[in-house]
Parts: sequence; structure tokens; C-alpha cells
Amino acid sequence: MVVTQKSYNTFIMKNQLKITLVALVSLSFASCSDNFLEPTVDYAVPTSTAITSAADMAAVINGAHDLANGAGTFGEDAIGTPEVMSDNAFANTNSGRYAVQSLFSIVSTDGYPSAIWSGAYAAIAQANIVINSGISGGEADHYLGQAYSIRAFMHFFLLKNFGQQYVDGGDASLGIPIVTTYAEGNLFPARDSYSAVISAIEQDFDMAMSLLDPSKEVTNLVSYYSTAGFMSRFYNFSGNFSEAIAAADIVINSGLYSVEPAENVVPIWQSTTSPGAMKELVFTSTDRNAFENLARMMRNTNYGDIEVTKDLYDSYSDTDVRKQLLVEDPVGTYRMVNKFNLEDGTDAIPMLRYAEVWLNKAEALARSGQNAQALEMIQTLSAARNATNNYTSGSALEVLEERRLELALEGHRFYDLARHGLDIRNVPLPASLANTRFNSNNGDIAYGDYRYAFPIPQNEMDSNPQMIQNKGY
Amino acid sequence: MKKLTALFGFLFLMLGTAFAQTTTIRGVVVDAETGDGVPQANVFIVEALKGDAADFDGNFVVNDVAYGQYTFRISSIGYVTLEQEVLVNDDTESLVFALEPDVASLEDVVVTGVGEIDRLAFTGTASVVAGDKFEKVPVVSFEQALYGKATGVAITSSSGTPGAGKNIRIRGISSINAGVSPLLVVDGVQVIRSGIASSGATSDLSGIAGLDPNDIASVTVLKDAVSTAPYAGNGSNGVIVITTKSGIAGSTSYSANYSRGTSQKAVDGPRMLTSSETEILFQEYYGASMMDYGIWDGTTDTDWDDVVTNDDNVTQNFSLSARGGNASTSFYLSGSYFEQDGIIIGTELDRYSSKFDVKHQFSERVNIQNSLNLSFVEQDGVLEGSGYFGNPALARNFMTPMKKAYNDDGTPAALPGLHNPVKIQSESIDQKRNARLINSTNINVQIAPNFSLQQRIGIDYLLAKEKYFDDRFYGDGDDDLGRVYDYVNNNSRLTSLTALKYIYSINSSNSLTATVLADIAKNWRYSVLAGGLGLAADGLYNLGSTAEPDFVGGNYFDYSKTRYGATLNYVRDQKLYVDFNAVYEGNSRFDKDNRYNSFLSGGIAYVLSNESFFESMDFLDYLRVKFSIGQTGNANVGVNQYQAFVGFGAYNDTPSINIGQLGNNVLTWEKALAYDASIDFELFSRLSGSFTYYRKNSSDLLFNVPLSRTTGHSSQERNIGELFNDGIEIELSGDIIRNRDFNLSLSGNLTTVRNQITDLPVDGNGDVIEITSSLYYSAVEGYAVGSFYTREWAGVDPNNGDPLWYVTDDNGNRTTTNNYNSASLYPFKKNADPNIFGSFTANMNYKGLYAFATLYYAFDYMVYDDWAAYQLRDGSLLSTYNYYAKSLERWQQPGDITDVPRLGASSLNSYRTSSRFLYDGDHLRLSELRVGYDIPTELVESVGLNNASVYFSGSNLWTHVFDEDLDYDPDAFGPNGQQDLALPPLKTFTFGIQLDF
Repeated sequence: MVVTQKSYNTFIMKNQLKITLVALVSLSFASCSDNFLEPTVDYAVPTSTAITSAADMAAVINGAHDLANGAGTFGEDAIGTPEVMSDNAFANTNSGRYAVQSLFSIVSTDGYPSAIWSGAYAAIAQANIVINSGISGGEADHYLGQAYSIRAFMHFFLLKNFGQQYVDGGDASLGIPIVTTYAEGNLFPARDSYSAVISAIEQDFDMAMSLLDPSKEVTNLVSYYSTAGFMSRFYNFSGNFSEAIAAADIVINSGLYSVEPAENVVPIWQSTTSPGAMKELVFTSTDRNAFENLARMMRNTNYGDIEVTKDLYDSYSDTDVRKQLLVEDPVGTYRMVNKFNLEDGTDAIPMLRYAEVWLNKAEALARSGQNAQALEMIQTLSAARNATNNYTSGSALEVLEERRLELALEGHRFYDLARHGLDIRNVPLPASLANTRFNSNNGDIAYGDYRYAFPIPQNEMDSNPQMIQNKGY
Repeated sequence: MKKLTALFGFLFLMLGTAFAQTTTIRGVVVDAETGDGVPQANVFIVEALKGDAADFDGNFVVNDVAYGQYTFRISSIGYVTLEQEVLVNDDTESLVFALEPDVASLEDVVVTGVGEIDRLAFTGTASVVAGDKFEKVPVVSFEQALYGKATGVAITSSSGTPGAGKNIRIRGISSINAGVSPLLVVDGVQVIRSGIASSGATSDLSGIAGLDPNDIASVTVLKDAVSTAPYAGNGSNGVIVITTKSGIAGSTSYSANYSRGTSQKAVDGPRMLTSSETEILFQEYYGASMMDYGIWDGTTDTDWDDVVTNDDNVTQNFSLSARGGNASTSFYLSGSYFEQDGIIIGTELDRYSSKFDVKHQFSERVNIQNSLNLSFVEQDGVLEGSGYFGNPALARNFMTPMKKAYNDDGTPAALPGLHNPVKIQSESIDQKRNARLINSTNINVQIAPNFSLQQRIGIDYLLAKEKYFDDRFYGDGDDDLGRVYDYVNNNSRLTSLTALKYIYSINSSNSLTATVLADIAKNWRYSVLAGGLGLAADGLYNLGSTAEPDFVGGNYFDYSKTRYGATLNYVRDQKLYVDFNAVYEGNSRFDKDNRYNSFLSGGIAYVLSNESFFESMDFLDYLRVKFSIGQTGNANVGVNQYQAFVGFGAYNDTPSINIGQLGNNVLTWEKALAYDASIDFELFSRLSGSFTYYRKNSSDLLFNVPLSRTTGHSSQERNIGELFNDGIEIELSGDIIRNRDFNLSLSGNLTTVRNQITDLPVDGNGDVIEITSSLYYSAVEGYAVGSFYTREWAGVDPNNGDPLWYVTDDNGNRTTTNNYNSASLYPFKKNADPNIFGSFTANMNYKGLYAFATLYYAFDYMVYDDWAAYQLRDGSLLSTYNYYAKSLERWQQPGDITDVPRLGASSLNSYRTSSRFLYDGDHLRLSELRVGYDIPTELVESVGLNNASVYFSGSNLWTHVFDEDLDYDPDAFGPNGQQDLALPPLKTFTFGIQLDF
């Protein structure tokens, strides 16, 4: 073959064309497929299409419980904190956990206020997704009822922790923002007044009771009777004692629950559940707080930060079966070892027990002048625990004393003292641990101190221009 | 091969017959100083638009050159490009071109990853670091070897554990919340740099730790809009382009290298209290002896720093490489083993890597190159980076000297509370393993002399396996009778680049090059995670041996991008260069309607020294000014952030729906407008350098706008806000002494960075949303991203030992207070990124002896010791956790002037976040020193060697910290400048030998 100028050029031209075509095909390869840039999302579902049935609503209710049982909230810290901030317990600073709470030196950037604030509002967001789903009737009504109950419970919880009712007092004192929508409306809400929050909670509880199906009573999800139990707690807080009695009576008269006999108290606590459990947050072997759990905080483990005061230990009479839930070991060190005893994190967290409902009624009776009936109730409970006691008057303080013994280390004590307008006593600690609690030189923390409310978390202050910080922070 | 030669000969004969007035030009390119042939030199006949690459001996052949007057341009890396006029006619004989070595600037080619551009014709700004700077360095990854070597590139480390990733920032922080890490390109393939492990609690293992620095031919850092134009949508953070070694034609040569050495801490860190010192404080505070409470036996005094230090650590490297080939096929093959023990017990890294590169010229017009990088890295890490009980860095600071590390029989003590690191490290497993393949296949087709096609297919595959085991009876697994976790993460990426290039010579002095390209990438990520509890016996480490599951997990996601680009390069008289780029890019991280964006950029360079009016200035070898401007993008947000979705989980083993993310369907590209002006010069053939001013204005920032937590969410990704980075970059390099026996060159570089937020979104009230915390102005107008902002420490009240902070009252008066909550917060105007940094390098050789040293410097930034809240706690937790020895300087009586408050001041929040623990990070560091001796050839030839050299190589041998109160290594702080209980950086000494045969 003799290559001439012409044929050479033709050869190039032909191939140039061919190669150019290949190149252009490659170039357009990407563009020819519109789906190339469409990501696969098979781990989540768009919010707008996620809730279309009653079953979806049930799953969202499950999710609200799932969010609540984290270690930052009811899985651990929200139970331990009200105890170390009282005469029941203190943080020994083994690992530094609960230290700022025990020292009453919380500042707005600390993790705890932020965790419970965010956690409670996340649960409220879940409730609002259900409430605003537009699905109702049949099974859906029960889930709606659960959602209203959760929303009421969480607003109540927020108010107890962040409201200024103990610091400023009065209906007009600052409460917390009431949130009733998800991802719409005002995303930067201001704080509502104490009284506005109270009435919002009342409305939600009433809606819940009208929607919940009493036949669907389980302990691991919020239910008709546990809602009634929470209502009795709430009305004692708001001072509406007749409502508290009425709510407690729904539970007491149902016949579904009873005060467990003395011999069962310790064994039941040592199982995953608790005596008279009405509402629990449960864990499974694959869904649990393996390290951050109450058993590891309260027992002598490599955390073991929460120690019980001698003051509490000595409050139990020697025959009281509840004293067996605690140990003194070594001498001078007291621990609650049996309420939360499963160090692998599978203890269910009691959110409501029948004994509390019983005591709620007793408290309402005592605080509304029906002391004789109150006395009878606490004597009954005390006797069921084989305890000896000196109750004589059925006063609010006697009910509170029995409440302390029954509900110790379950996350009530600080709220109970505050609700009764009492100071936080600085009870004696072992000398080497004296500096792990609020400064002994300063004595008790007087009722009304700014520390009766947590600071609004700094991240909320920074992101929400409407937010007003609590006094003293 | 014979066949091919015959064919060429035949063709040549035919062509020769066809065109009478042409000739074949033969010649050789030699080194002007040594007279040796210059291998691979590029010979180009400008007017004929043809040329040849010289062979290993410098010989070249150009066929079919018509008679006439031509400009021959001869270039090669490391030499000054030569242009010479040659008359081609019947009398033309063998030509000899002598190239002058370009000692001052060795790096003449800018590799953009899409193509190679003659540095002189490049209008963008890039730093090129030659491969020899990465050889023999006793570090795991190139990231660490890049310290101070490239102007504009700041590198900090979060951990000194061998293999841990580094934080790289090119020209400041371009974004507040989107990723600020540069894009990494290896042999033209965009690869992931960071590790993909699931556990963030244990030591980090960089994804690129497997790449042997010895295999690197060059690292090019692309910084401005023009240089990053091929990656426009990823260009805002700069691009690091690594080219690995490839074959050179010639007889096969082998190189073997072995080095061995040891490491220490680069900086000792703060001294801790001894037992008797703790006793002094304890007695003072509690009025009793620790012995009264059974805290101390009166004799135990454990130095936990010593306990956690691995004194017998070894660093060693063995590598073997071969390269060679002939005119049509060449190869490079290497294999290496690198081992580095950390200085903290329980840390070790083993790296096995290999590189195989082959080039083949199929025909005159088609060549193919395939580069394969394979590696396997195994890292034995520890829990670190936070306050884990099992973290040895925590044990060093927190463990009290009153506790015994060992029992009387020498076994590790099973201490309650914080885990005994010796016992944990002897029993637990924290292991990460990466297997990685990066392959780049390139086909180049010279369709016509002026028209070419490049097709590249890239594969990046990373398999990351993690194995964790906690002992049955001690440590984190004791409640569960042992725990096993096995995680597998798997990332695959496929990329394709197609480029067509057309060169159009308008006339003898003007030419235009046009390129169009299409580039696509798809990435898949897949994970399987499982954990099990309860093991029946010691020595069982597998999931199958566990009694019950702890959890199972796993996920899948993908993302992709497409890019279409066009570039025009105009050249006039080798004096004026103009570039223009247009890119249209789409990214799956944004919603359908907001996925695409256009990016334009342009640059101009003018070589003033080629103008006649500079000709009289003999000392001026070269002078060029250039300017570039353009848009770049950043899409480094989490996948699928634009979508509003709910997630799924479980409660009580039944499915649950949990709020996921709020989403934002208008989310789109973060953009930056970058411009650059610079001057390059060379004087007296000895001094070269450049001055650059850069500025990058970022807008539509991908901003994690904080939400009120009452929404159930903490933040939402939006495109809001603006910021800029600007500064200067200076590079200078000079040959101080240059003669036959002795050469000394010095070079230095300087980078300044100013970062400032200029615009932030407003909230519903019209107030500017500022993101602040008790330590940072995370985002505040007028300040750098993440600049420190905290309570200002005012020292200790001499009267009573109380802590004091400054407070500005309503009238603007500045006083002090001992009330932490009422103290004012003040901005400190510096963040954790050095605003001034760079290095000085000296390079000398005398006969066979050579030395190379780099002094790195970083100034104008701050670091915060957040764990000092425990180690300078002023009473609280005394004897529970150990204190810094500095706590002995406590206030004791009225009149004491000290910076450490009285014992008991902890109740006044003395240890809370404030500038008390904020330090200047300014430091100098001898980051690298290499001294070696090339044994004279005549001595080694007799044993069959071509070359032999012995060397000492050290890293971080000397560090000077300017702030006297900062006891830590300034490089031991995380990216936010916080001391996060990570393991300290290493100082490494190695001795090595290299044999070439």
C-alpha cells in the first residue's frame, strides 16, 4: 500500500470521526441517565408520607418511648438527678457523673439541662406527629390518646424542671413553651406562663383519657390507667387536690393493681421489673444502655457515682423490707443496690408504680384537710412493708416521709421537696466526701433559691431569640 | 517487537518516498553540566507541532520534518526549558541540545489530575512538592510528610497514634459547617482520604495511610479557581493531587531500602503530682492524711506517664522497587513493609503496600497506562479522644500515683474505677484494618497531531474492618462476661473521565487549545455491624463464640456527581497565557431542582522577562505576573440532608418511627469567588520565588442553622451567610553555594490566613443569628470561624485566693468578680488554626554527604486545655483524680501572688471554662532532618551495586513552644483546638540504608 497525501488524510478523517463519536458517546454517557444523580434512600422515609395508618401511629408512639429511655433522660440521668439534688443521695465523683447536680453548681452549658430539654421536646415532636396526622377513629384513637398523654407528661416534666414557679411563684411566672405542632408554625416559640402551661397539660390529659382504650392496659407503653396515675401526680403539683384524688381513684378502683405484699418487694425489684409497676421504660438485650445505666451508677461498679446518704438509710426502721434494698458496705458507704441491679442495663425504669398513685391520693387528702384518711392510707402502705412508724396525724409531711421511703432513688425526691415548699437539707456526708456535695459551709439550700429551676440550656438561648433565661443563671 | 520495528521502518520508507522535501531529525539531549543524556526529555518542534520523547540515553528521532526554519523547544523536569532555532535542510545533522539544570525550581509540571501543564504556562496557583521530599521519612502517611512543605497548606494532627488522619486546611476555612478538607486525587482518581470506620471512640485510621510515601512521584496542591477548575464543585477547599511513580525506559534498576529506629514523645506534656505532693495538698484541704482514709498506703508512688509509655517501640521500613522498560513499554513495581509502634502501650501500625505501574505505547497514536496501588494496613489502637476509662492518655493524667499499676507478682492490677491501662492493653483488642485498591487506567489517543482523546477509568475500593474485644472480667466488658464487636465498612467508587483536546495554531505566534471533558463519579457505602456478649473462655474473640447478641446494625447509602467542562487556553509568543474554564456540575446531595450549578473561571499570565525591554537586565532570568479569578463550590454536607424524613428504630423489640431530619429542599451548592494575583521570578540563576495574594469569598454557606430544641431538632442545613479568607503566600528558594563538591540551597515559605465571617442570617426578630458557646464564637460576624470567646481569667485574688474573672458592667466599666455566672464573655480574636505558618528548609551536599532539614513554624492561634478542669480543679476530686504539678502553686495565704487559686476554690467554679486554660499555640519545630552519605561508586561497584547510601532520618526532633504555660504539644489538640485526651505526637529517629543495583 502506498500512502498518498489524500489517502492519509482520509484515513485520519475517518478514524477521527470514529474516535470522536466514541468520545461523544462517553461524554453523553452521564447525561443520558436522569437517574444517575438520584440517591438511594432506603434507610428512611419522607416525613410527608411516613404516617398513613394506625400502625404507623403506633410506631411513632414506640419511637417516643425509645427517645425517652436514653441515658441522658429517663434511662438514667433524669432518675438520678432529682435524687442527688436532695437529702436522699449524692454524687461521690467516682467518674464525675452527677457532680454538678450534687454540688448545685449547674450552669447553662452543662449537659444535663440540655439533654432533658431536647429529649422532652423530641418526645413532644413525636406526639405532635401523631396528633396532627389527621388519622382518627378505631384503633387510631387509642394512639392519639397515647400521644396526648405523652405530650402532657413531657410538658409537665419540663415545667417541673425549668418553670420559675418555685423561684418567682405565681401563675404569671415563666413556664416553658407549649408546642403543639411539628415542623410548622412558630419554630422559635417563647415561654408561656406557668398557668398557661398548667391548663394546656390539663387539656391534653383530658383528651388522652377520652381517647385511650382502658382495655389496652400494658406497662411498657403509656395507657389509660397510667395516664390517670400521672394525672394524680400532676394535680398534686398544680394544687388541684380534688382532681388528684379523682384521678388516683380511677386507678385504685380499677382493681387491676395492688400493693405488693412485703415478701415480694425485694425479689420483684431484683427482677427486670418493679413492684406494682404501671408504666415502665423497658430495655432488651439488643436495645439497652450498656454502660450508662442506673445499676452501674448506684451499685459499686467502676462508675458507682450515686451513693445514698446515711440520713436516708437511717430513716428506714429495721423491720422495713425496703431497707433490704440498700446495703452499707463498707462502713459509712450506703448504696441502693436492688432497685436497679442489672448492670447490663436491662432493668426496666419505673415511671409510675401503684404505690405512688396510692401516695398521690394520700398527699391530696392530707393537703386538702382530710388527714384521717391520709393517715389510714400511709399506715396501710407502711404495714405492707413490715415497717414500724410514728405516723400520728396524717399530715402532708408524714405522707411525704412515707413517700420518701417508698420511692427512694426513683427520681422523685427533689420534686417532692420543692412541691412542698421545703428547703434542700445539707445532710452529713463522710468527711472525705464532704466536698462532693454543695458546700457544707453554706448550709441548706432555701426554698425559692434560683437553683430550684434549671437554667434554660445555652444552646436554646443561643438559637431561640424569644427565649428568656431563668433567674440567677 | 522486531515486527513492530520492521513495520515502523516500512512506514518510514513509504513516507520518505511520498514526501521528497522532508527529513528525519535525530539527536540527543544532554545535561549541560555533566554531559549525560537526559532521559525522557521532551523535544518539540513548535511550528511543526510535532516532537518526540527522548529515550533513556537522551536520544530522540523526529520523522517527516519538512525543510524550513523551526523553533525547537526542549524540556525536561528539573531543567530549564531550552528554545533553539534550527534550520532544517539536507545538511541537518545529528542535533545536540544541552539543558541547564534548573536547581532552584525542580518542579516544573503542574499535575492537575486531568492533565499535566507546563508550570510556566499555568495561570493558576499551585504548590508542587517533588517525590524525593517524601522518601525515607519515618512517618506513616504522606499527610504528615507534607508538613510545611507546601505553601498555603496547614496540617494539624488530632492524635499521635501511628496511622491517625491529619486535618488539612488549604488557605483557611472556607466554610462554617460544610467540610473544609481538600479533595484528594491519586493518579487522577478522586479518592476518599479519611477513614470510614464506624467507631469514633478508638484511634483513627486514615483511609490513605496505606499509600507508601516512597511511591510518590509528586504532590501538587491546587489552590486557586483556575487550578481547581477541573474540580470546580469541589474546589473551594483546594485539591491535593498525588502522582505515584511510573516506569522509565532503560535497563531495569532495583532499589532496596531498610530503616529502623525508635520514637519518643515530641513534647513531654505536663508533669503530674506525686503521692507525697498529693498528700501535702490533701492535708491542707481536709486536715487529715490520705492514709487516714485508706487512700494511700504511704509508699506507693506510681508514675503513670511512665506506665503508659512504650519504651521499647520500633519503627522500621523495608522496601524494594524496580523500574525499567524499553521504548514502548515501561514499568514501576514496588513493595514495602512499614511498622511503627506508638509511644503509648497498645498502639502499633503495620503497613504492607505495593504499587504496579505499566505504560505501553500501542502505536504512534495510542498509549495506555495503568497504575495500581494496593495496600493493607493494620492498626492496633486504643480508646482515645475523650474521657474513656480505658484511654491510656486519660490514665496518664487521671490515675493517682497512690494506685499501683502492678500487683506484687508483677501482673497488672485490677484497679476499680478508671481502668488500669496496662491490664486493658494486655487483654483487650481495638483493631482497625484497611484493605485498599486504587486503580487508574488511562487511554490516550492522538487522533491527529493536534487532536487527542483521553479516557480514564478510576476505581477506589476501601474495605475497613474493625474488631473490638473487651475482657470477660476486667474493664468495659466485665458486666457482660466479655464483649466482641465486628464492624465491616465498605466503600466503592467508580469514576470516568473523558477529555477531548484540540490544539489550534492560529499562526506562528498564537495558539489556542480547547478541551471539553465529562467526568462522573458514583460512590457506594455499605456497612454491617454486630456485637455479641458473653464468652465462655479466654482466648475467644469471635462473634460466633458469644452467648447473646448485643446489637446488629448496618446501612447503605450512595452518592454521585457529574461534571461537564470546557476550557480554552490561549498562548501568544510564550509571553501571554490566557485560560478560561466553564464547568456545569451536578451533585446528588441536593434536591432535583437545585442539583446543578455553573462555575466559571479565568486566568491570565504575562511573562515580562520575555519582553525586549527586560532583555538588558541580565540578572533577571524570569519574571511573570499572573491573575486568576473564578467560582468554586463546596457540597461537603452529609448525604441526603435536603430530605425531610423520619428514621426507624425499635422499642421493646417492636419497630418504631423516630423523628429524623427536618430537611430543606432548597439546599444547594455553597459557592466561593476566589481570586489570586502573583509574581514569579528568578534572579541570577540562583534565586527564585513567588509572591501571591489570594482571597476567597464564600457565600451561600452550607450552614447548620441552630433551631430551637422545642422543634425536636437541633439544627437545619441551609445556604446562608458569607465569609472570606485572604492572605499572602511567599516562596523563596536560593542556591547559596553551587559548585562541584559543595552545594547549599535554602528555601522558605510563608502563608498568612485571615478568616472572617461577613454575613450571617437573621432570625424572625431581625436579629443576626450568632452561634456562640461558653468557649467559641462559632459563627459571629466580624470574627474568624470558631474563634475563642469565653470568660476572661483575671487571676487569683491575692487577699483570699478566690478565682477572678473580668466583668464589664452596664456602664462599660471593666472590673473583676469571683462569681463565675456573672463574669462577662470576651472574644479573643484567634481561633485554633494558625494564621501564619510555613517552613524553612536547608539542603546541602558535600561530596557524598548530604543533609536536609525542615523547620516548621506556626503562629497566631490558640489552643484550649479543656481537661485541665480536672487536673487543675482546686480541691474538688483531689485524690480521686490526679492533678497537674502546677497545682502546687496554689494560693495559701494573703499576699500570695499566683495563678492557681486556693484549694476549695472549685466551689466557686474556678475550673470552669475560661481563658485560664487558653494558650497560644505558637511554636517552632524541626519537623524533619535527614543526613546521609552516598558511598563512593568505586567502592560499591565491586560488589555489584550502582549506588549505596546510609542515612539518618528524624521527625519532630525539636519543638519550641512560645507560651510558657502550655506544657502540651501544640499539635496534640483537635481541630477545634481542644485537648481531647488523644495520644501525643511522635518524635522519631531512624537509621537506614539504601542500595541501588
